[in-house]
Amino acid sequence: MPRALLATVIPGRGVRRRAASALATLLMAGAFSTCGAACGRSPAGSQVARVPSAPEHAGAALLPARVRRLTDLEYESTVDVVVGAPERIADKLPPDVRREGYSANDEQTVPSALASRYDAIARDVAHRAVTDRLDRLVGCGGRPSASCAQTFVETFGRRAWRRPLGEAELSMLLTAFREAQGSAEGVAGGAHDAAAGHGPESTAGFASGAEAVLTALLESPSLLYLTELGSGPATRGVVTLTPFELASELSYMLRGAPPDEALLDAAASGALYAPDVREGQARRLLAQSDTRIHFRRFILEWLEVDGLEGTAKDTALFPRYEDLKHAMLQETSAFVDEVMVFAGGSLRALLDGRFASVSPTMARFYGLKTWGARASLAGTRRGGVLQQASFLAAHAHEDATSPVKRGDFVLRKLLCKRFPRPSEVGIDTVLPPPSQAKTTRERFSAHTSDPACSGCHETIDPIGYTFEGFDAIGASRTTDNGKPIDTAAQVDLGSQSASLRDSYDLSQWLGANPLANECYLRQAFRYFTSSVDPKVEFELLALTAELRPALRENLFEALIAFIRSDLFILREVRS
Amino acid sequence: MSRLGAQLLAIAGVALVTSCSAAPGAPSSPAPIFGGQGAVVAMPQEAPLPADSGAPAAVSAPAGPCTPPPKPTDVALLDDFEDGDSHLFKAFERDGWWFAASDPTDGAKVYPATSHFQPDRLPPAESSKDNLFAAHFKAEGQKDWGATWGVGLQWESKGIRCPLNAAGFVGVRFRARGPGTVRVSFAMPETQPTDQGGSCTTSCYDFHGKFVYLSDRWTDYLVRWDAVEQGGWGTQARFDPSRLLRLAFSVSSKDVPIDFWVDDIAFVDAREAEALAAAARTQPAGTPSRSR
Repeated sequence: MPRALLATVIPGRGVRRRAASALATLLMAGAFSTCGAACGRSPAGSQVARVPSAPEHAGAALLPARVRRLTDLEYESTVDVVVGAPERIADKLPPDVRREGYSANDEQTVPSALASRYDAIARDVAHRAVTDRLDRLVGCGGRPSASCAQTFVETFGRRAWRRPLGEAELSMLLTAFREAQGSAEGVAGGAHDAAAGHGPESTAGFASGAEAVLTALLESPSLLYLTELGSGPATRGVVTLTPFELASELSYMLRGAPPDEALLDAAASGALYAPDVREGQARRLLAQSDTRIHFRRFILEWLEVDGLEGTAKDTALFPRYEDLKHAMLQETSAFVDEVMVFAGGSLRALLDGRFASVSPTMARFYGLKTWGARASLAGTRRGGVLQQASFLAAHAHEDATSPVKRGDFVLRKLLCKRFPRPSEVGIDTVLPPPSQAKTTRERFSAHTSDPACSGCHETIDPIGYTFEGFDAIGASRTTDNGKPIDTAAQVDLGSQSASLRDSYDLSQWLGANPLANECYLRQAFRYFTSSVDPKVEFELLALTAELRPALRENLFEALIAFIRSDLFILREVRS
Repeated sequence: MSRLGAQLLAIAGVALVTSCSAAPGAPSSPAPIFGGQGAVVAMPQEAPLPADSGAPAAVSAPAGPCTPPPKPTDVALLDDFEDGDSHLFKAFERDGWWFAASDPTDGAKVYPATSHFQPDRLPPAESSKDNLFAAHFKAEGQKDWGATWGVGLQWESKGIRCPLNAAGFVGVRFRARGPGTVRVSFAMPETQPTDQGGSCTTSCYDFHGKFVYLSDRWTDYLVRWDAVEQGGWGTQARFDPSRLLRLAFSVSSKDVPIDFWVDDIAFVDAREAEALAAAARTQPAGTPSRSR
């Protein structure tokens, strides 16, 4: 529980400080974890689906009951939705802690410096929102009133905290509203009367009240954290998520953004416990065009290329790199869009799409004759993401290729095989010395001749050698230091082996490889569930195995299978 | 073929469009991923690399005597109707005419009449010194495919026909007052028949579009390129804003009678679209849903 955050994000002064402190007290008292009876209850007479219970799932691996902080981008999208205007916030925050390369996880912390940053952002955003758009924000037709204030607090509270406010929360926020309003008007008592419906109110006072509430909502832990705690006691160590937790889970999972009104309404009706309803909501969210941004992000984080624009190369060797980085990432994003929409986001299509989604700049870089969303790759040895410049540049050194980085990526992220880092086994890493007389492959062959290294590098390096036909920024090449390049390799994974001519062969081999497809889905589950837990991942794989064969490689159907399952609803309480 | 002849053919073509759109075969659930729109970066499906470096190539060969292919237009305003005539805004680089069409139901009425389009003067309470005119569309009695009003975007001066390249923008905005349901659509060569400047030879007229639900108050509407989709019954094509042939506002027979106004139609860039979307999100509760 981020008590340090509560102590820090609401430092305030004067009226706002009193109001915010009261709110903090309320949140500390437990609203954070249970949000009161309003969350779990179902309206009388509504059609409420059967709620799965713990005993039905004894022994099944479940995701943990937990609280996790929103990522920078999730926080930005949440604030966007609350104030109804796009804000550039993520750039103002320190980078998220990554777990297995993914930014959404439960290891994010809130050190005091970050808490101060959230506080400043909340105040700034709330002030600008109220100053610029008060009428559109509160919708009272320019006639502020006590009822308008209450509607404002309830509406924005539900939007920000993704659930209805409890009675104590509503009361506390209204108190904050009235105190700020009274302070602005300089007649605290009169404002109290007005807010209670006894007299007219000024627009300036109303704006101050709205700003204080908006600030409190935006800097609240109830906004900043997602809970997966359920509302009742655990049964055999298992809790059931509340309907509003389900709504948030669904929306942040598929869109990286808070639930919309339709989803919150579905939660309020209790209908989200029905698999068909969850599936319907999920497909509705997936059909929205801007959902693509969250899926692009998955592929960029999976490929570990999302930070490409922050990388640099030796300008003497690669003078064009600075101008190409953006186009490289745009290419991968456009390609991902195509694969998601027209090929179900399958690994096979990502690795062997046989087309490029390139601008004229990237088309020239690749030596293609055409450009566009489906530019032909005929005559090249490029097929999908592994031969795209973004991937090749991200997994290389500043001045040279790196068979180790590229091979290691394939093993970790495409085959889910992890080899220990040299430091973990007490090996002092020394890169092969530069040489004008050897190819990179010849230099790195030392790895496999040194007994201390060969245990791992006999597996890693051959995979990396298949990429040697591309330089450190992904341009095709046939020679290295004037010598012909050898991209052929024998890949031996114990249970599987393959003779490959180059990385294009590797892509085709991986695309058709069940192990790689399983690994890809595990990677997807890590991103979309914000969790890394092999036991749970195998439970989720079992769900996809029940799909019709034609759908088993479809990323969206795998996610839908999870969403439909009780695994989506239940959480294990871990010590 | 004269331009008037082409317009008449276009009108007849629109009739077929809407009648087909009401036919069975509409998209069924589940809804397509991301609205069925693949790469949203403005680019064609596949096009030859341009000879000169840097500038994006235009597109695959457009129909008609259009050489070289059009460069992206940077003129945003299509029409504000203040000139009071049936042509597009004079500074716009195309010489389009507004037209209207109705299905052949006996007694059906459409306003303006099919070949007599002109903007109406706004009611005093809705006009200002610099905003006196708007397009006023009315239809009633249609029982077949409905009615449509549109404007060609493909005519350059001197009778040269060439698709309009609007790839530098992300969509179209307009102001309108209803109430009513209107489909805003864009014709491209793949969905427009060959004799009307397109390349379509079968199951034509399944234009890309988006339904917009008009409020009974003047409201800004935005139709983004990445939100338009076909009806799903005709020749399928990727929407390509660099090859627009026509813009139309259509109503189905189930949505007549209808009486609505349209004004200030303009292309928008990403920044303006973002601002419009943000403004739309802050609409007060109870505001009618704007678009589907």
